Amino acid sequence: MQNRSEKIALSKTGILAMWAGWLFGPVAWAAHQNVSYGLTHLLCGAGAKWPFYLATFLALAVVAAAGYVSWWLRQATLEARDTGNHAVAASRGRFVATVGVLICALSGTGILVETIPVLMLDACAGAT
Amino acid sequence: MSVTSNSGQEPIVARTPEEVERLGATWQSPKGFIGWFMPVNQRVIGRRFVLTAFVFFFLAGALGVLMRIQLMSPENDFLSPDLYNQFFTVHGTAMMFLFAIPVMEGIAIYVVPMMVGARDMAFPRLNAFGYYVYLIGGTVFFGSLLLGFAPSAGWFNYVPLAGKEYSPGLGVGIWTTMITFIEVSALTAAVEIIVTILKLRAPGMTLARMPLFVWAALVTAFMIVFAMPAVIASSSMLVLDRQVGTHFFTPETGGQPLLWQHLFWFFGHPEVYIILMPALGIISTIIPVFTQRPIFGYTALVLSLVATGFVGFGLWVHHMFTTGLPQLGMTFFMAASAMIAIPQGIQVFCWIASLWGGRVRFETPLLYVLGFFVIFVAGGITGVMVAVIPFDLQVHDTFFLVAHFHYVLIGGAVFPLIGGIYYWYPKMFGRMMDERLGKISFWLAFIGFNVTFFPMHQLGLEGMPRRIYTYLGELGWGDLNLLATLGSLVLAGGFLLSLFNAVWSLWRGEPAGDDPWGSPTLEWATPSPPPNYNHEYIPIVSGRYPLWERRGQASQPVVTGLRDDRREVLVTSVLDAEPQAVAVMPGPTIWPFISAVAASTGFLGILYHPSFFLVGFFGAAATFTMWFWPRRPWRDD
Ligand code: HEM
Ligand SMILES: [Cu+2]
Repeated sequence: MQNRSEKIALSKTGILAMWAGWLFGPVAWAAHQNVSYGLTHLLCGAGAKWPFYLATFLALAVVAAAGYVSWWLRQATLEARDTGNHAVAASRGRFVATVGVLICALSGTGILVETIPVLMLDACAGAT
Repeated sequence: MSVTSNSGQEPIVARTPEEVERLGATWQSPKGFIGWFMPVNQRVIGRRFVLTAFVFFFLAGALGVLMRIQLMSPENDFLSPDLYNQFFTVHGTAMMFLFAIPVMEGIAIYVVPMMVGARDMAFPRLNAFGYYVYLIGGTVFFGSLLLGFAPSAGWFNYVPLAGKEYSPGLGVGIWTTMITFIEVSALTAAVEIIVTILKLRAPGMTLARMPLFVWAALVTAFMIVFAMPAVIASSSMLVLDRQVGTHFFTPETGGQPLLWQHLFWFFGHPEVYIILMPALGIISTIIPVFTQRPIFGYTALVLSLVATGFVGFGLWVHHMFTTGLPQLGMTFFMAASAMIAIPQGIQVFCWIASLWGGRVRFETPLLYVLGFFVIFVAGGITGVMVAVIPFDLQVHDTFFLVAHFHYVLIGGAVFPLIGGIYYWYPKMFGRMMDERLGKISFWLAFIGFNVTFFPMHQLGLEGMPRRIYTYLGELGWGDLNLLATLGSLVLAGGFLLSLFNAVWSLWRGEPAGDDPWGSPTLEWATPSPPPNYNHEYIPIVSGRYPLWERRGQASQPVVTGLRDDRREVLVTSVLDAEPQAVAVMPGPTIWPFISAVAASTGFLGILYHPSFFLVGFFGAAATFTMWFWPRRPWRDD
């Protein structure tokens, strides 16, 4: 007997969703880095810093969502483990999802670390 | 084709001697002079990549030692300023492009298919094409040094110095051409490696069971695919600026010199990780073998490889801290640069945990890995130091940087690489390399390396700039420079001793046997050296350490039913490596070589006249047609 979460974990969408952490974690971090880099040019002189924080908030939201999906699928594959003929797919799925969670954790840390200087520096500092 | 689990040491359907011979003949590479240009088998191409790369390594290393001799004492006139400029440019470029990338690719091309239980790479002819392109490009590049018009604007060729005005002549043109060649070659290899890993794995080798070296090769290949386009764009723009008169980088007419730096370093920083990543894979391969137990933290190691692959793309601006960009903008890259220490740290701790408390066999491959630990950790620490903007402003373009990146490149890539050569040599040539010479060479290289490059940190802090051909005696840099030069001779001696060892062992080494180290991965399930077809039967995998799991077991599950009379490989699914189909591989042909010659004529001709572009274009098109001309896939005897 398969339960619901097990079915989802082994479905086509489930398999794609397993990669969410691998894809969206780093993409959110990269987008955050480059958007913030671009914003410094735009915001110098405007005196507003909230767009930086908005970017940080959005990026963290994406990372958290991707991390949560990975985590949820990881738990689902844990349940699927014992189903004989799916054992291989479940163990591979658990592995992919676990790495996904960890990548999201690292990407989230990156986003937070990159936001620290915004608290301390003026957007115009050192601009030539 | 069927997937069979058989009982007994021998497969149920053992081949008769005639069948084995036919299989060998099917996969054989042609002989003779013309035959030399025709092989497409992955092991032949991989071996050629590695050997050619080492030729360039020793040539570029000799330039390094010559530069060190010039810097040995103040106001030395051993080399002229112009020659010194050519030397550091050719040395840096050749080490990065002609040695480090191709050697790592070569090892991956050689090892990965055997490690995943395949008989060849996914696109054998493309593989051969990539090699000839590389060979021609590298030869022309070194040829330019002999003929006296080598590039002299440094390996990163900053404009406007590399522009027509300050670098007239052929030099920079040869540099950009060579870069394009290497991009083509690296991209073909990357595509090959990705498809081979994703589609030709032995049944049962799911993503979660792939050997760590295969993971490293996969991440490297993806990094090449994403990084190379940036440098393709920038080097094409530079050629256009120089040959056609466009203004991408000339500020007087609205161009942007900083654009060069952005494009170059968007490629250039990941490039360092492209070189480092396979070395990390080699380390994760060697450690379990010499402790005879599974590596600690497989998942964490895969995570670090993948994370490094991503984060490596977010660091490029740390090469531009002194260009006057807004401070806040630069801090994001400073943060990312410091962050990359996290995955690197995870790896180092996993390796230490793997070595901890185990019964460790201190043989040469492992010694080189331990040497890596010391040197690479030091290089990593100075890396975090120069990632900090205020510190970088102090040491930028001094010998501190030269010390830092040689610690990372030699410690991080060359030491594990040589360990890997000692490790795989018995598989490649069927003989062991000499242990005693190996150990001596390690200690010479290790001590020589530190004596050469450690003093450069101090020289850098004292203000000695890089890329100067001499300095005044009053500055007091003479003693440390003399020490560094003596060290470089010892270092070179260490590398040469390993070279001697490799050549000598070809004839005199002890016969190796199939699996001399007791390794767990599939390449050791073949005879040494392996037959043309690698694996007689494609193995079926049920864990991360296939050969260890089979120890003491009577039965070895294998795939049967692939044909003997044509080059067949088993195609499996991407995620779980379930068998899907049988693909027929193309055989030996001379067309990849001729295509490479046609393309090179076009590229090099552009330096003479832009119209050569057409020659190359149509020449390549014609030869590609011949290359892809349909033929019967099986052999006619
Ligand atoms: C035999 C060992 C080596 C020695 C003695 C050596 C020595 C040197 C010297 C003296 C310089 C020039 C410093 C200056 O004047 O600015 C240099 C630059 C450089 N080296 Fe090495 N090196 C060695 C190995 C390597 C390796 C293995 C790599 C890379 C894989 C490498 C990459 C570079 C690069 C990228 C530069 C910068 C060139 C430039 O500024 O354009 N070197 N090396
Ligand atoms: Cu960098």
